[in-house]
Amino acid sequence: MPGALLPNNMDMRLAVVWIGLVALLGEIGCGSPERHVLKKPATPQPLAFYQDAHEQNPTDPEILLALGWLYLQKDRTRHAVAVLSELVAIAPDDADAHYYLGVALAKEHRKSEAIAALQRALEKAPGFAEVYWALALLYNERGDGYEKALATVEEGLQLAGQSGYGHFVLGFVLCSRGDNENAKTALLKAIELDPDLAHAHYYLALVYLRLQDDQRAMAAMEQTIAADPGYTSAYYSLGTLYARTGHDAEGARMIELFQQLSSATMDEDHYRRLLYRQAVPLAVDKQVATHFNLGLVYLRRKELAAALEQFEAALALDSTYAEASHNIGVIYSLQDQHATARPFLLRAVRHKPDYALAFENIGNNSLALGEYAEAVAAFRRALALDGSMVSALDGLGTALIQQGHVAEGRTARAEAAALRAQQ
Amino acid sequence: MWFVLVAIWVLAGCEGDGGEAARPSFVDVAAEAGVHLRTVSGTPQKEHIVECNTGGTALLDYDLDGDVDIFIVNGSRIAGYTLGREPRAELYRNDGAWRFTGVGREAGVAHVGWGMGATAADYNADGWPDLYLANYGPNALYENEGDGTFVNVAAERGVDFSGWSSSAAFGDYDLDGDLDFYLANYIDFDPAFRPVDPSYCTWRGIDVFCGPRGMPGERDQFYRNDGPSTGWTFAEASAAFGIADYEYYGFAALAGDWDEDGDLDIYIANDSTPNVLYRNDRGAFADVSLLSATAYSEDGREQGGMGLAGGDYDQDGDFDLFVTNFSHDNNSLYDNNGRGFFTDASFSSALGRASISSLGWGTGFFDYDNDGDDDLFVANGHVYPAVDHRDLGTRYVQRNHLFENRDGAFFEVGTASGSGLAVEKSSRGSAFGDLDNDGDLDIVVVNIDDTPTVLRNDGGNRHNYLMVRLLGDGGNTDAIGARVSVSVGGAVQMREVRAGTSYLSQDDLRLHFGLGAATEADYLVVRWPDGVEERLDGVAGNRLITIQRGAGLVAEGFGPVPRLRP
Repeated sequence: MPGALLPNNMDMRLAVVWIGLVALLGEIGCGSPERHVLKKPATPQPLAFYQDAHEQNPTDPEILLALGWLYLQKDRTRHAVAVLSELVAIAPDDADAHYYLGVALAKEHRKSEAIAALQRALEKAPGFAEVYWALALLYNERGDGYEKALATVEEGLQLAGQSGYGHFVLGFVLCSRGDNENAKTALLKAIELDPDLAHAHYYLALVYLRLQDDQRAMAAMEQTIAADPGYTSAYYSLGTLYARTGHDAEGARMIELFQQLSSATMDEDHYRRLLYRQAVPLAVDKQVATHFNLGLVYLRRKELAAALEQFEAALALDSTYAEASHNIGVIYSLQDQHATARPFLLRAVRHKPDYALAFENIGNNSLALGEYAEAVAAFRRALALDGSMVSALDGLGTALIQQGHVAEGRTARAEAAALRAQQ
Repeated sequence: MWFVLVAIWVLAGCEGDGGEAARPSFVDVAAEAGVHLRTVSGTPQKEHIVECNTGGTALLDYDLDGDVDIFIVNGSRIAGYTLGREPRAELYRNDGAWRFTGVGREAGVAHVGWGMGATAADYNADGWPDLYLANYGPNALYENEGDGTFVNVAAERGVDFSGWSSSAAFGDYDLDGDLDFYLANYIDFDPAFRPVDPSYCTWRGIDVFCGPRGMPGERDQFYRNDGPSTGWTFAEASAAFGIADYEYYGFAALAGDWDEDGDLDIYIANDSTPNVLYRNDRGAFADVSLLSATAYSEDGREQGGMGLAGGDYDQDGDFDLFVTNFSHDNNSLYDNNGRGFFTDASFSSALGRASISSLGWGTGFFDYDNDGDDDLFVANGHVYPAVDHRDLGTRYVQRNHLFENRDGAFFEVGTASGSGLAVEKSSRGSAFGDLDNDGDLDIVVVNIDDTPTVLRNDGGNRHNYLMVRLLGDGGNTDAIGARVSVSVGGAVQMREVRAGTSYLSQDDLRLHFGLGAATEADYLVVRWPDGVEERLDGVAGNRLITIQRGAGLVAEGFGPVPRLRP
């Protein structure tokens, strides 16, 4: 597929700030008594809930914080800035609000405003170590503020010397500056304090690469993936390392995984621009694939209506497209429209009789509709196609119990639990 | 008085330390040399992406009089121009002694249209270099008639693609004896189209022109030369050659034998999309970008690839790759391990850190001080004039960079290398050649909406040199793709003859080698495009030698190109 290699559209700065945001949020609750502890907003409801709530109560600080947080999570940074600006106007003494606004402004590349917001957070809460990490990353990111970045992260470490993330930021800045030996020390310390910090493993691997120590680099890349199997760029780096050192097959495998993960992060406009072509229209098979992929983008964002539209467009162009039909069924199911979902799920397995996931979802659909015999048959078919489907085994247990075969159902669920533990 | 004397002594001491006094300096002689074409590229505020890329320059000896002439492309604007008032490309004839005369109109090559790149190659093997222009709009193939004039034959030869092309890289990719070319294309552009996502029309909080992200990419093309039996026509043969149908944003294409197997591979710098390395196996291309580690930055990010350079900077016997990228990101150096697998050496070579705040375009490995290793030049300039109104750590006009190679690490020495490297403009294409035949390499830089910079190298020839001109045979008269290795004191330098280099540009086809203190090369080996090798021993330096395939050294000294061609 054209463009299948695209991992994302981050530039260097965005990547840095992204590291900052994600990992900083992982720091929550690790503070020493004198430290300010960053609050993670509770957001049990979907975004739309908070949008509605905000319309009803535009000055409620908790709703504003939840909404701003969710916008940040979804990379809708302009919205985040707007909402968090409202929040700091309402709660000017809330250090966390200033911090989140600073992060949102940083993601919007409004550096001086971001720094101002973060400094305000520090004024409100001088023991706010996370602010130092964020400031250090901002000072570091354009190549002309290494010394200031280092001084800032050191200040943070005085507050939170046992913060793995703090040591990671130190290592990251040193790595940016080209001070590989000290970067290595800092990153090893970060890993000692927080062995699951994938960023630290990854940048340690890059430092080893710069030091031409391929063996240690490989091990650190493998640790990165162990710490975070979704760490896309590690697959690329590891694949190239394997290939370069003569392990061609392993390299190819890693690159394949990289491509799979990358295509999962492709963005809306990438697909839209493919569909836009006028001078040389996209071939029909590629239009189908593009609509489908665009549907996946929306599905991941939980924008179900938009996703449905794209899967329907794919199915309109290729009526035998089992995966598109299946996903339409899933979307209807997610909206509790189980009867509407059913024909799409059945159509999927008609065109792809070995489609285990579709059979499992037919089972789920049948369960929802109270058709337990059909559910049992569908789950059994799914398991016959793929015996490792724990959720299908679970579903089978439930369906059997609903049918009155309680013992058999319990056995199936126990098997599912055992299998899950094994996996 | 005492203090003054001490100060002078200290300064003198500094000059004498570390060879500083011997460093060549570059002087911008464009105005006095008469190279004064002011390029045009849309509006000053840059409202559309098409307005920010122009353009390239080609150094070619179009009249075969023995010195290098300069061709510079020109742009246009969305609204167009009234007939007769359009900006035109220009060809500057080198009259010697740093005097150039604009002869574009009388030569019939003052192209009208939105030009991007220029490549010189003798596609029809008549001995005269022709010019291929990659444009936003129909591309042009100006055939050199041998009488000082050119005729555009692009339509007749089947190479007048009318999308948005950036650059072409010629070479005998299928080893059938004639010159094919790879065409890098940019965007399937429609000024009215705006991406769905408004973030593609902003950059770091400022509103800017949209793209390239969010816009449909234009597929690259591969043209096979079908030779004299068809009247030297070309066939678009991407699929047959295994060129993928990626819709990336192509800028620069560079042909070279990256995997050391004797044929020409292609590397393409793509803007905001992965770079692509095609490994060639005698006409069958395979995309090896990912496994070879040349698609992304060291941390797996796509970058804004602009220009390309290929050279053996570490003298380990293979060609390494250098890519210029967007600002707030590093330029990338990929170190070849000899099998076509690369290690990202951007930061270990010190090139990465030095390039974060600048936006790089034209580039080339060249030995500016004739000390026997590859130094590096990078032309810089931003695409967004609005960056000057915000504290973003970068500016629209930028200083170009000269990196001196010191045992594989690069140090920016531009600020100590003459007034020409203090010039701040928004530069784009650049090309390298010995414009005054004095044994060191000069540089031509195209600046957007501005006059070019012509950097005369003063003092590069304090060290010794050897220049090599190759005369090929059959359909490849300039031996494009041939490799020359020169050994001096055990160190071997390598160069390839390349048509299509840097960013949208073309270097002097004569190969230049610095010999340092040595007055001769121990030996020189030519590997011709078909793999045949010829060796010369004890080659005296400080001259240009001409080597013809199968005939060895046939001429020496600067002067008209020997008429030994068919």
